[in-house]
Parts: sequence; C-alpha cells; structure tokens
Amino acid sequence: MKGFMKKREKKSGGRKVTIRQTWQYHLLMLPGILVVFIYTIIPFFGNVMAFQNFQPALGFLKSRWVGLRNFQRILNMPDAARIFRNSLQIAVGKLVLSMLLSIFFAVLLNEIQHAKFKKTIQTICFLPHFLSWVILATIFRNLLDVNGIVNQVLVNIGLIKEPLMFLGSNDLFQGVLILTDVWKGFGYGAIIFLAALMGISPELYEAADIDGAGRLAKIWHITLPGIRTTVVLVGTLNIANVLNAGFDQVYNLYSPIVYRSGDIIDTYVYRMSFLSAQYSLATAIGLMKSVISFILIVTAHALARKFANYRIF
Amino acid sequence: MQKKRVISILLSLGLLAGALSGCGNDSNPSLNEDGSTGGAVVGKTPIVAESEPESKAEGAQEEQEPVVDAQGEAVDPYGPVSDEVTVVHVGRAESANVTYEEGEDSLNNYVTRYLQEQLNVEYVYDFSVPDETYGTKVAMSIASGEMPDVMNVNYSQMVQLVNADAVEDMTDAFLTYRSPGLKQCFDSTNGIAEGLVTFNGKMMAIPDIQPGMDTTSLVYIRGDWMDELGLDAPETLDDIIDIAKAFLEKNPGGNVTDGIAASKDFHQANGGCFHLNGVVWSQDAYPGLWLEQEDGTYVSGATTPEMKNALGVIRNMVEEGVIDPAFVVRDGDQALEMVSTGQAGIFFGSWWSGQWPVVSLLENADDSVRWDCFLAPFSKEGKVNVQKKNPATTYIVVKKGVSEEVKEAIVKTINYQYDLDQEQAWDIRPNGMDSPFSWHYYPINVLHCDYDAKEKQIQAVMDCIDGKIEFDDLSGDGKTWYNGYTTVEKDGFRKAVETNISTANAWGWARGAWAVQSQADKMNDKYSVYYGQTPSSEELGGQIGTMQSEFFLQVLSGEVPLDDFDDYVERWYEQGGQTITDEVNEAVRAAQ
Repeated sequence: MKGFMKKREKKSGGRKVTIRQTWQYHLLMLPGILVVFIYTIIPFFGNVMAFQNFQPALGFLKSRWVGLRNFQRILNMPDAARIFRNSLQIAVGKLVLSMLLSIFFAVLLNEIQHAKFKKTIQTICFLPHFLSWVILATIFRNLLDVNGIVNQVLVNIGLIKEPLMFLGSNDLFQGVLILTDVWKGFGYGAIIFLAALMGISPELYEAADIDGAGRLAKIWHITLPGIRTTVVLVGTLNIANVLNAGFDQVYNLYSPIVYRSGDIIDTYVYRMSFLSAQYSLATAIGLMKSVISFILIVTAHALARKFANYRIF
Repeated sequence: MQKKRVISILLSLGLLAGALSGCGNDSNPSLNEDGSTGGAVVGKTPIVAESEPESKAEGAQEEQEPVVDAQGEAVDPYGPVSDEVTVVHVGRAESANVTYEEGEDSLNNYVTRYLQEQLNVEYVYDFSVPDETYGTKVAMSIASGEMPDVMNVNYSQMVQLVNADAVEDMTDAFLTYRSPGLKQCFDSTNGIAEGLVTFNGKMMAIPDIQPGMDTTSLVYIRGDWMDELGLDAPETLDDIIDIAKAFLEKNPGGNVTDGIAASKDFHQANGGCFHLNGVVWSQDAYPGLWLEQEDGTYVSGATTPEMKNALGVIRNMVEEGVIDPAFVVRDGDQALEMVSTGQAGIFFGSWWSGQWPVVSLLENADDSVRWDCFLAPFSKEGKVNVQKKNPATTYIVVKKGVSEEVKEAIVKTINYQYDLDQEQAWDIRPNGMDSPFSWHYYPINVLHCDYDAKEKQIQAVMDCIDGKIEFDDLSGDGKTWYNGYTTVEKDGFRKAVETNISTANAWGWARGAWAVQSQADKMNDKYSVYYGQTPSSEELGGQIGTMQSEFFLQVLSGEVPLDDFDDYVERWYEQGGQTITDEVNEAVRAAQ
C-alpha cells in the first residue's frame, strides 16, 4: 500500500494538470461514480447487519448487537466446508477455462482475413452472453435430459451405453456447470483480448515476415507477448470473483440430488436467509466473501507486479 | 398478566366507545340486544390443534351471546365504520393472472367500490406491486418504518413484526366485528388458524384460510388406455403399479416411456401436482407433520420408520421402472410435457388438477383422449390417508398505532370478502357472469374460505343434481360448478370448451372435488399436533430442510442405500432437529 502512495505522489508532482483542462473527462466519469456511490458505497453501511441480530422492524439502531456470532454460525454450519469447496472448484474451473478459451478464440479470430466472416463469427459467439440463465437453464434441461438430444447423440455414436443424467449426477454436475458457463461467456470475454490484439503494431508482423517467421511463430513470438499485460490484468481482476460461482446458473440448474457437488455459497445463503428472512446471516456471509476476495485480489496484484512487472493501479 | 390484559381490553373498548358513538342506530335488528355484558368474549384460542376435533360444543355456546361493543350496543359486522370516511392504507400484491373490465384495476373495480360504499371507507394503496417483488417490497416497507396500515406477510415476517412490537393486537377488533360467516370460517379449522397467530394469548394477525381439500391426493389416469387394455379402476398402490406396468408393456399410445410422471418435488406438503404424496401417505408416513408417539412425545414425520418404509416403496417403483429414475431432476413443467406427449399416462394431483392440467390437456388433445381420476391408493386398512395442510399461509398484519376505526374497517372488509368468495360476487357483478371476478379484486387480497368449503360445495352441487336442493340455493361458485358439470355430462367436453372455457374449467374442478367427496367416509385425515414454527426453526430449519430433501432424493435415485436412514435421522437430530423437536414438544405441552 505504501508503495502505491509514494508512486502516486511522484506522478502528480511530475506534470501539472488543472481541472480546467480536464473537466470534460471528469464529467464523463460522473455517472459511473454516482452508480458506485449509490449501489456500492451507501449499501456498504448495511454491513453492520452482520454484527447484529437484525430485525427489519427495529432497524439498524435498535437491533441487538451480537458481535461475531453470525460468523461463528457460518463456520459451524455442517455444510460450510462443502459449499466453500464447491464454490471454489466451480469458480476456478470457470475462470481458467473461460480465459484460456477466450484468448484462444481471440487469437484465432485475429488470424481471419475475411472481415465479414470474422464479424459474423464474432457476433454469433457474443450472443449467448446476452441470454438470461433462466432461459438458458430451460434449454439445457431439455438438451441434457435423459431422453434429450445430447444423450441420444452420445448413445447413437456409441460413446456411452446408457444415457447419462447430466443434471442429476454428482460426478458430472460441476463439469456441466463449467462447460455451459464457458460456452455462454467466452465470446464476450474475447472482446478485451481482441482490443489488445488491435493495439499490436503491424510493423512487428512485417518485420517478422521479413525474417521468415511462419504463422505459428508469429503468434507465439508477437501476438501472445503482445497481450500479456491484458491477460494479467483480466486474470487479476477475475481473482476477485473466485468465490462467485454463479448464482443465476446454479440456482436454475440444480436440484437437491446434486447439493453435494453443486450447492455453492450463494445458493446456500439464498435458501438459508431469503427463504426464512435471516438478513444478518446473509450479510455476514456476503461480508466474509468480500473480505476473502479483497485479500485474494491484493495478493494477485502483488504477484502480478512481482512476476509480470505489471501494475493495475 | 391477566389483570393487565383486562385493563388493556377495557382501555381499548373505551376508545371504541368514543369512536362508535355516532353509528349506534345502524345495529342489525336480527341480533339479540342484550346489553348486560361489558365486552366481547376473548375466546381461549389454543396454540395447537387438537388432533381429534371436538371443540364444537364450546363454539356453539359462544354463538348464543350477542356481540356487543363497549356501550353494550349490538355490532353490525356489515355496517359502515363511522359517519366520516375512514381511510385505510393498504400494501398489496398484484397477480399477473387477473383481468379487469375495461378501464378498471385493482383499486377501482366493482368490488372495491361496493366495499367503500358499504363501509364508508376509502382504500389507498400505498403500494401494489407484482407478486414476484412483493416480498422485497414488504421487507423494505418494514425496514424503512413506512408500513401501510395493513398488508399481508408470511409467517416469519409476522413473527419478526410481533417480536419488534410493530403490529396491533387484533383480538378485540376481530372478536367484536367478525361476521358469523367469518367465525364459521375460522371454526372450520378447529382452532388451527387462530393458534398460528396467537402470541401470549393475543391475536396479532389475521391468517388467511385456504381449502383443506387441497392435500387430498388423487391419481389421474388415461381412461382411454385403460379401456383399450381392459384394466379396472385402481384401489391399492399395487393396482396403480400394475396399470403403469401394463401401459409400459403394451404401449397403448405408441409413445409410452414412463409409468408415472413425477417431479423432483415428490412430497408437496400443501398439495400440488406431479408429486408422490399419495404413495408416501399410504405407508402411514407424513413427512410434513408433527406426530404423537406412543409415549406421548412428538416427533417430525420425516424421521419415522414409516418414512423409511415409504422411501423404500418408491425406490422399488423406480427400480422396477414404473417411475423413470430421471424424476429426481425433473420439474413440474417437464412432467407436464410427459403426460401431454403421451410418454406417461399416470400422475398424482390434487382435486384442482381436474382443471389444471387436465382441462388444458384435453383441450389440446384428440377427442379420444380421456383422463379419469380416482381416489387412490388406499392403505392396508382400506382408508385413504390424507396429510391435512396448514390452513393459513398468509397473515394480515395491522400497523401499530392505527386508529380503532381502521382496525374495525379491516375486520369488516374481511367479513365482506369472505361472503363475496362464498357467492363468487354473484350479486354485485355489474354484467352478471360476464363480469370477471377474482379474489384479487379485494382490497386486502387474501382468500378466506371454510377449511371444508370445497367438500360442502361439491356436496351441495351433487344434491342439486339429485334434486334434493334447488339450484337457487347453491352459492355462486356452486352454480358455475353445477353448470359446468351438467354441461359436460350432457353435451361432452368438446362442446363445453367451445361454448366457454370457464364451463370446462368448472367441470374440471367439480369432477376432482367429487372424486374426493363421493368417498368422504373413506378418508383418514391426519392433522399435525403443531402447525407453527418454533423460534429455532427459523435458524435451523433451512439446514435440516436441505439435508432432508437431499437425502430423500439420494435414496430414491439409488445413490445412497436405504439403510442409511438411521444415520440420516441421527444427523437430522444433531444438526438442529433435536432443538426444534424439544421446542415443539414444549409448545404442545404448554398449550394443553
């Protein structure tokens, strides 16, 4: 932390910028800051609920203070280990796979010369991102049903003998969650990498051509190093989501039979708190998640600085 | 304690006296005038239901005493609240499935206009939001301290409000102003309804009351297939299994892949569709109830040896292929698809399933398709076991500090709403039966109907068909059932649908209800010794519920052997079940 501060002081001391020169930019930022203020800063004070036995009718001021009892309760929950493990496995699986696939997709797309074809592919791969999980879950339920298309195809080409219960098997459920989520998100995730690829100077490729580099050599030596900082940035920011395994998706796809492999923190909190109005417990879990995410992101940032010599802030 | 209560009653009655001084002349002449007693009788409302209903005599006695207000003048439960307009602020939910006449809405329709005129009140909707967001809206209005005068909440919200001392004690207002009809409605639950809202002897909310017939499980079977294969009507579970096997073997529709269409919600405590309630209950297992043991203690029905047995029976059905193993991940919509595409010809439902899904199934199917409904399966004792549901799911709470007029207006509004439901607003519909109606037209939109309303209604309809009573003696809803039932009997289903879908719907309801009521003597009704929620169940209930539903489905899918049941019961008690069970035992004993 100290390091950042020093750095910033130095920077601001270097070049003089007046508000008169830059007020337009500040104006542009204003809506974003307002949104952050209304939806992040103000609700932040609601975190006091985590240390109270919050009763809505009594409000923040009159509810009883209970210290760390809510946190104790979380840690003593018989399913605590299970939901943390599931959240972590699912989220890490999604993060790693979707990032790899997004990069792969962006690089491939970048190699396509035909502009119209490129745009078409890109648009098609974006589309699932805009569909809600409520809709997609219904579609996947049907596709992955015991009598669904996926099972019929797999059985007919002889890959499996008996139809599989994708959404009812604890061995397969996490895989289904990860794969469907990656399918939904990789096209959108590729946007930022595509933007980074645009920024690579064409002169580098021309120089490589002269040196006689092939396609793969150019990708390996120019394209990938060119987007390295972006990869680190996205990776670091994603670490914060490592406990968010995707409530929308899991809630719409799971059933009690796959609680063992599919019950994540958010679905558990939902069942425990919102269905029986336990606001304090839900807040405590949310706060705990935020703290863990904060630690992770600070660590990741430190690592990124150390190994990739890259600073976000 | 007792003294305090007497004082508080007297005080509130004093307030009432002032409030009512203007409307003494409107008293209903049909009530006996006997101004001697000083106040309304605060009936002892039991916290728990007696498993053997026998408190009728007491209730009859109470009826003899006239209801009087503080001045000893008889109260007209339908009269105007006061000379001046009483404004009632309401928080409510909108149902998406309700249609209004052109230009009208939930605030401005013939029902609200009628009530405002009769009671000299004005309803103001502080909020009226879609069903899905209602829970959030209520939570927000509580948290922000801007509660409307009256709104509907769920059980845990009610408990929180009572604990926070944010709602009015409704005991006096309710006992003073309720109509004889509303009293009968509450009495039909044998004290269960009052017990749910009674805290320290005070009635802190007014619960809704829903028909108790909902949980009686019926089995719906493709009648045309049974005819084709020459099968008899089922009585026992084995009969149903045999029919399912016959359907699977002979494949009458050419598309059969599954015997019984069931969803993952295989036990639905409030009744429903695509469940296996009947199978579970026929084994004397009642996972939704608190049951009395031989030693006089009370246990959750989800932990009994009978429950283990019931799981074993269903597991066998899965193993035999009568129920597709994939039912553990199937939701209701997918189960519906299976019966509509002819993949399965059997499902379990409620009496109302005769209307949904059966009427829509028939409407979109070939005329040869027939869905028959039967009361089955019978238990070994030759009875149909029924896990009786909690009559209330919604609780009307009144904000602390409202005037006595507002409390009076609320109870009187409910008086009217109950009667309107009985008559289906037959008398006040501007354009007769062409005017749409729903209980969402009410300002305080909850349903109050007798716990045994559907039983009484279908019996009246059948008596009318047999010529024992006159058509005009039927209630409004009874008349539509009569019309629907007789039209389909005479002209067939297709004709009824073509004239009017509500005729076909009424037939569906009437047929389902009659399947239950025609064999009323074969019912074995099981009540819970305790329908409320104990303090700890709010904290621990979710955990246990998770474990319970997970374990049950794991057994049914074969992932876990049935013999793990004892282990599950142990975990059930360890993870909080013991605490809740102790609390229930204590609460039941305290109420005795």
